[in-house]
Parts: sequence; C-alpha cells; structure tokens
Amino acid sequence: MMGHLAEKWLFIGLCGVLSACSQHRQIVYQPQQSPASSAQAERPVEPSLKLAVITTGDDVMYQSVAKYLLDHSADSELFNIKNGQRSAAVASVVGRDEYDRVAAIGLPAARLASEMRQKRVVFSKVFNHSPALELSANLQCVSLLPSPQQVFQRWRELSPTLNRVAVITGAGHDHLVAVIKEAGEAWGIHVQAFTVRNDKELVYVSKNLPHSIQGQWLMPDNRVTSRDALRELMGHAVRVGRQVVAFDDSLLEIGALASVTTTDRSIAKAQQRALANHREIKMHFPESFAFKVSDKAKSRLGLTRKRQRE
Amino acid sequence: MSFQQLSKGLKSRFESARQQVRQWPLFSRRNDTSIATSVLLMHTLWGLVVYFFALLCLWWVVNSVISVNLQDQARRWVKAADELGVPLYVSQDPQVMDEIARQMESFSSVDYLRYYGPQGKTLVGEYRSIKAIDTPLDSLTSNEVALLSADRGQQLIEVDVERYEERKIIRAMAPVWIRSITSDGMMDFELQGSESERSQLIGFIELGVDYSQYQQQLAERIWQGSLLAAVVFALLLFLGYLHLKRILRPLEELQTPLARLAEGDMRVRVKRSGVREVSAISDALNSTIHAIAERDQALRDLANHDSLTHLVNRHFFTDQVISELLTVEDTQQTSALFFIDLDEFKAINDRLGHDAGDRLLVQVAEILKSRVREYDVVSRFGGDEFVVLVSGVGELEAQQVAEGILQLMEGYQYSEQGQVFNICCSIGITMIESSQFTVDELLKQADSACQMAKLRGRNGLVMYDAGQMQKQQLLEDSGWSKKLAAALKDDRFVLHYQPILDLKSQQVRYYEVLLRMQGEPGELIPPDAFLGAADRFGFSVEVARWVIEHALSTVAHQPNKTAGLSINLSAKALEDTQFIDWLGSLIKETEIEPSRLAFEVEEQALLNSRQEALLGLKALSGLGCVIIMDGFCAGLSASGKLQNIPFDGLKIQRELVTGLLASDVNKTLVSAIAELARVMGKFTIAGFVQDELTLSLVKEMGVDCAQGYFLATPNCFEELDDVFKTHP
Repeated sequence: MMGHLAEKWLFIGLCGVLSACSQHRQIVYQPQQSPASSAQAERPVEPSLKLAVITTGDDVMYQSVAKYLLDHSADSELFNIKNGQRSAAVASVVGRDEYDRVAAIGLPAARLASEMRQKRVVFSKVFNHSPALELSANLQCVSLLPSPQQVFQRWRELSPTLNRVAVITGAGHDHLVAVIKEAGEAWGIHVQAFTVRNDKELVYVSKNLPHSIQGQWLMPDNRVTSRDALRELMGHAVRVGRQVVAFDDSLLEIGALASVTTTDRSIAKAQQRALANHREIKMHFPESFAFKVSDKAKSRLGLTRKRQRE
Repeated sequence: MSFQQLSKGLKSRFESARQQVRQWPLFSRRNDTSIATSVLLMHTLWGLVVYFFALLCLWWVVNSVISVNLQDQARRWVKAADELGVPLYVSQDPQVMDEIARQMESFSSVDYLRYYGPQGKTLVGEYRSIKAIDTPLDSLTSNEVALLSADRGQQLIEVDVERYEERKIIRAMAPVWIRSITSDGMMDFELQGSESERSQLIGFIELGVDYSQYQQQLAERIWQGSLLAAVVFALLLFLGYLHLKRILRPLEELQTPLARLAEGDMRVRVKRSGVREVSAISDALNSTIHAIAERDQALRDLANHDSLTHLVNRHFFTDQVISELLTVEDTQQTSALFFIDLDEFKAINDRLGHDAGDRLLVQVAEILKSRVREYDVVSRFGGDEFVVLVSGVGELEAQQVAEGILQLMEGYQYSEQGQVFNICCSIGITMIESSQFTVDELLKQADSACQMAKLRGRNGLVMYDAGQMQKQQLLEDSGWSKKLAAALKDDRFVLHYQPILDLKSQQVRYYEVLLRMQGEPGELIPPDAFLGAADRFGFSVEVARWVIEHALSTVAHQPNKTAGLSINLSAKALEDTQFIDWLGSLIKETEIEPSRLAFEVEEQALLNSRQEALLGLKALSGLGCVIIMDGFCAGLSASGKLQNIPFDGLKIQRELVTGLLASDVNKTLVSAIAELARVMGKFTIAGFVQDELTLSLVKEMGVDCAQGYFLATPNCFEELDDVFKTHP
C-alpha cells in the first residue's frame, strides 16, 4: 500500500516537472469522489484464480499496461496475440478454468476475450468497441477518456459560465454519451450529442452548431476524424469563440482551450481496480489524467479576467 | 495567276492606297496646310493609335485578371459548395438541394452547381441559375473522373473555360473525399504526423461561373469610358488648337515682312515677339536683312564706282546723264557734258609703268573733283578718259568750268621716280539742252569734241558743234560706207568662231561667231573698225543678216552637235521687227534647234535701247533662243531693269575678267555676279580668260563658262576642232 502511494506521488511529481517544462499548464488529478461514483458501491471480488493478461502485439503502450497489471496481480500470466497470430492457441489456454479473469489490452485482444463468456473480462485501450464488443457485466471496459465528472469539474472551474457543451462522435457510443451527459448534468452543464458518419459531417455539424453551445468536447473517434477536418473544425471554433476540450495536446496549438489525456499507467490502474473490484458498471474511467490548459486560448476566450479580479 | 500578275496587282493596290493617303491633310504635300492643323491632326492620329493600343492592352489585362480571379473564385466556391453539399451526401435527399440553391442564388456569377455520385455519372443534386436554364447537362467524362480522383484523398480542383453558345463559362470540378484516421482511439495521434488516413470518394462537384457577364460589363464600362475620354480629348484638342494658334501667331506675323523681303524691300523690319524661338528667328532675320542691305549697298558702291580712282563708273554716270536728261526736259535748264582725255598719258604709262599711270589717274581724279561742285558728277570712263556732268550751266559757264580744269592741270606737275611731268588734257564739251540725244550720242558728241581739241594741238577745249562734227565724221565714214556696201555685195566678210567652254562638263557649250572684214590681201579688219560706221550708215541689220545666214549654214557641218552658236546682235537689229520675223522664218527653214542659238546683246545697248528692242528680245526668247547679256557689270541690276529683261546668261564685262588677278574689287564683283546669276537661275560666262590662274579663279567663283585666248583663239570653222583639241 505504501509502495502504491509512493508510486502515485512519484507520478504526480513527474507530471509536475513535465508541466513546468511545457508551455501549457498541466494538472494531474487525483482520484476523488465524484458525485456519480459515490452512488455506486464496490463489491469485493471473490478469491480469484488466475488473471490472464492478453495484449495485442509489442506496442509499448499496450506493454506498459500489461506490465502494470502483471506487477500488481499476484497470480497472472501474459499472453500476446500479436495481431491475430496465436489467437486460437491463446484462446485455448486462457479458456481453461484456471483463469477466471481476463484483462484484454487493445481491440484484437478485447475481441478474443469477449468470446470467453464464462470469464470476467475488462478490456482497455479501445475507443470504438461498438458494435464488435457489446458491454455487459462481464465485459467491461476502461475508457481512454478520463472521468467526465472530473473533466467537467475542471472545465467548469476554468469557465464558470459554461452550461452547454456539444459532443460529436461516430455511431456506437451511446453508453459513453449517456455517461457524459449524466456527468454534465451533475455539474449543471447540458451536453448535446451528435452522431456523424465522416469527417466532412463532423466539420459540417461543428460549424453549424447552435450559437448557444459554448463548448465542444472532441472525442478521439478515428472513424470520423481527419487531420484536415480537425484543423478546419478548430479554425472555425477559434473564429466563433467556442471552447474546445481536445483529446490530444497537439490540438492546443491550433486553438483548443484544454486537452484531457490519460496515461497508460492511469488506464492500467483503472483496469486493475476494475478486475479487483467487481462493480456493475460497464465502463470505467481512469481516475488520474492530465488537464492541460492553453493560456493563449484562455486569454483569447476571456477566461482569465475573473481570476485576475479574484 | 502568275507571280508577276500578283506582284503587279499588289503594286497597283499599294500605289492606290498611297495616293489615297496623300489626299489626307496630314500627309498631303500641299504646302498650304497650317502648322496648327498638321500638329493637331498628328496628335489626333497618335492619340487614336495610343488609345486603341491602350484599349487593347486594357481589354487583355482586365480580361486576364478577371479570368484568373474568377478561376480562383471558382475554386473557393467549389470548396464552399463542398461544405454545403455535406448534408446532401449524408442524406442523399434532393430536397436538401433547395437549401443549397437558396444560398447559391446570392452568387449571381454562379451559373450552375452539380453534385455527382462517386462515378461522376449520377446526379445527386443540381442548381441552375436563371441564365443557365438552357445549359446542357453533361455528366463528367471518364477522363475528368480519372483525373480528379487520381490523387487519392486530395481535393484537386480542375478549372477550364468553355463556351456554351454565346456565353463563356468557367468550369470548376473537384472530387468529394471523406477521410478517417486508421488507428483506433487515436492514442498515438500527432497533428503534424504522417500517419496515413483512409480516403473514400463519395462524389464530385461541378460548378460553372458565367464569365460572359463580366466581359459584357467590361465592354460597357470601356464604351462609357471611351465616350468620356473622347469628350475630354476633343476638349483638349480644342484647347490645344487655341493654344497652338496663340503660340504660332508670332510666326504668322512673320509672313508679311518675309513677303516684302522676297519682293526686295530691304527696309522691312521684323517685329520681335514674346516667344523666345520666334524672337530668335526675328532677330536673325533682322540681322540678315541688315547684312543683305549693307552688302547690297556695298555692291552698289562697287558697281557704281571705279576701283582705282573711286570716281563713279561708266554705268552710274550713264544713269546720272539719263536722269539729267529728264531734269533738263522738265526744267528747260541746260547742263554740260565734258569728255576729258589726258595728253601724253600713254608716254608716262610706257616709261614709268602702269602703277605710275594709276597713281597719276588718282591724282587727276582728285583735281577734277576739286574743281567741280559737289553735285556735279565726275567719272572715269576707262584708261585716261574722264567725263564730267556739270548740271545747270549754260555754254559760257561750262566753258569757264572747263577752262578752270585746264588751268588746274596746267599748274599740276606729276613727279615720279625723280622725274617731273607736266600733265595737260583735252576737253570736249557738249551741251545737254533736251532729250533729243541719247546718252551714247551725247558721249560721242563730247568725245568727238575732245578728239577735235586733240587735233587742234591738245591742252584745249572744244565745244561740240553738230555741223562741224558731222562734216568731220562724214569725211571719216565715207570710206567705210563704200567698203561695207562692197563687202556685203562681194561677201568679203569672214566668220571666226571661238569656243565657250562649260567649266563643269569641260565641253564646248557655244561657239561665239566673230565677224571679220577682208581688207587688203592677207589683212583681216576687226569689227571695232567698221561696226560703228555700219551702225551709222544703216548697215547693221544687213550685216547681222549676213552673219546669221552664214553662221547657220555652217551649223549643219558642225561636228559638235551639242554645242550651239553665240551671235552678237545690236540694239538696232532687235528694234527691227522685220528682222525678228525673218530670223524666226530662218530658224524654221534651217530646222535648227532654237536652243542652240544664243544671241549676245550688250548690256549698255539694252540700257539705252527703246522699248522695241526689248520686245525684239522677248520675241527671240519666245522662239526658244538663248539670250546672253554681254559686258555685264551689274549695271542693269543696279538700275532695277534686270528683272524685266528676258535673258538666260550673263557674260561678265571684259575689264572685270582681265583685271581679276590685280584687283580684289574685281574678284568681289565677279563673285557677286556669279552669285546673282545663280540665285536668278542664269548661267555666267567669263570672256577674255588669258591665263590659267584667271581660269581657275573664275571656276572657283562659280562662273559656269569661260572663253578666251587661253582656252582657244578664234578660228575659221575648218580649223576649229584642231584648235580646240589642243586644249585639255
């Protein structure tokens, strides 16, 4: 437990150093009791058998999550399906009774794990899981996004008058949208969701959002996003003075107000916690995340005055 | 059509066009077009050329700019249409097109807008402006589809210009791509990264922009601008015309004085104007007029005075006597004419030389001038002969004046080289009592009286007595009268020919016909000996006929067909109308080219001749004969008669040519006569050229022809060629 705390503080310290080096202000949020999470009670997991960690290939971001899980699970074993290779063999081994929990990292691994219906599967590092992966009590996921509650909390702190936000995604994100809407409501922010089919539509909808919508939370939905579309969207947002919370720091350069990013470690921790404590929720959110704010955008949007007055 | 015909046709057309252009005032060779009109016409022409060139450039540049701008605009509109068309592609609902059409209507230049499916064939939606109702609907060609979709994921916008009937359309086409990032969740997203994106072609956009309306508007603006420019140009031309007229007014004011100057009025003065350039011209003209007047005066002085003694010369004196004749006629007063001949002058000349003789003449001239009144005229007539016109005196007073001169001369001693000479003179006096006698006759009377004085023992005076003189003359002439009648009867005249050489072509221009009379066997009597008597006894016309008949008969045998004959004529012959008629008939009979016949008439004879002589001269000129004024020394020019006499050439006075090397005055006079002739378009002949130096001088002075012993001596016709051939 002490080691866990030390790691946490070390991580916070590192982020602090990094934020000092960055031109954007970065705040790493500690796990805290959100208005929504307090309503859900955790149910301790029964004495477990073994944890199977299935990862997809040798990608560092997958491997770092896998390593964390392996390091923090007493009895665990790593399986790498390497983009579909050895899938059957892994499925055969993990399908045995000695494994009661499966941690899948990446979409191929998640797909493989989802077929093991007798086991509790928590997958991560997947954004567009629908329609291939239908979330259920035994098939839960760790979102790439941080907790919407916390995001809205920070956003509200940054922009106290914020009350209408748009979220535009591709199809299949009903659950996520619902969570976001709920989180927004908790903070008095009305979230309006739009579903688009391609990058052109993303831009079109963004440009034609009602004027009452003050902010837009950009989702990392690769299916409806292209670089040019993002540039055009950001350009328009800058022109109309709309606050954009982006999914990547690089978008701060082209006009985003803030970026919210999660780390592999925070995702791993969320996944590890979800595997350790069985809760009846389909989607888990990393509890720590980076919230970088563009001073330039803040200034442009007039979000510094109040603080100055204070 | 042959090349020659084609060439001829083109040449004919070119010539016709050239003639037409010559009719234009600007290019007309008529010299009555004013400078202001010419300048304005030239400015108008240049203005029009520059204007049309500028218009062409303007049209080209503006069209290019409009075209480029519209093409850029078309690209932007395609991008806008791409965005507007998103709902259409999403919904595939044609109703969406209504909203797009509503937005496109605000762009009047957009002719049509079409959205195609991914194959470029199926029309997803279309908008047409009112003007484009008739624009045919063509789907994209396979080539266009291939070209537009070649670069995957890139929105390549193709623009070209096409013509639909009367309208020019800029056509812009572009593919409609949708793209997405490949990696799920974009966990390794980099905005500037090179991670590939998936692209999918969902359709094409075609947009037409009406280019014609811009061209039409441009044409309308240019037309309006042209009208305005034309009005301004016309106004400026008018103002320019007024300004130019004002500037040229001083130049116009020069016309009158210049015209007067052209008529010989040297008193004219050109008024200075306010324009610097014209003032400079005025100053130059005034200076020139002044210089010409001075030169004219100098020439008159030179022409009227003897270069040695500075006494008035024979011409001026003759004029003065003519004038005196009129005065005498008007006032009934009498005047006297003295003919003074120095005794023994020849002896001094021979013993002491010509220079000494000249100095003596100068001193005698001073003595004569000192004895007469200021308004009496003293003149040197040549050699040692002087004449004096004493106005308003009777016989007694004239004798007193003459005696006074004789006394002065008796008291005068001429010393030279240590020798002293007593110089005496003989004086002949004739009274001018009426205009009954001509100047020549008066001079002859005075001369005769002077000869009588010499016969009486010199150093005396004789008053002319007509009866006594006639008796004397008859005694002298009676022999010549018989000789002349016999010579005419027996053909005892001989003709000699002396070439007149054209100094430029070095060819003989004329052969002067010189008359000789056969005397004693082997003796040829020169014309000076018998022509005076021939004149007095009325043989002059007959002698002239003999000369012309015989001279013309030799023309047929003349080897040099280009050379003509130059024949001397007396004033009496010219006055004889029958002679003139006879001469005309003879020219026709002999079929000689009249221009080959030149007639030399003494300037003095013309001065003293009657109107009939002038008419005869004009008749000869009318026949086409050449008239040469012999013995010219600007006497006629000075008397203002020159312009009334029809003549073609001038033969310079003998004395001027023979004294050319010795006297600068002669040089100036010969040079002036040559210049005068050149200005009048006449040719000049220098006779009596005795040496090479004189020949080169007259040539240098611009004299056209020369004659003289240095070139060729007079010879009978048979010997002519040989003689002339001896000279280079």
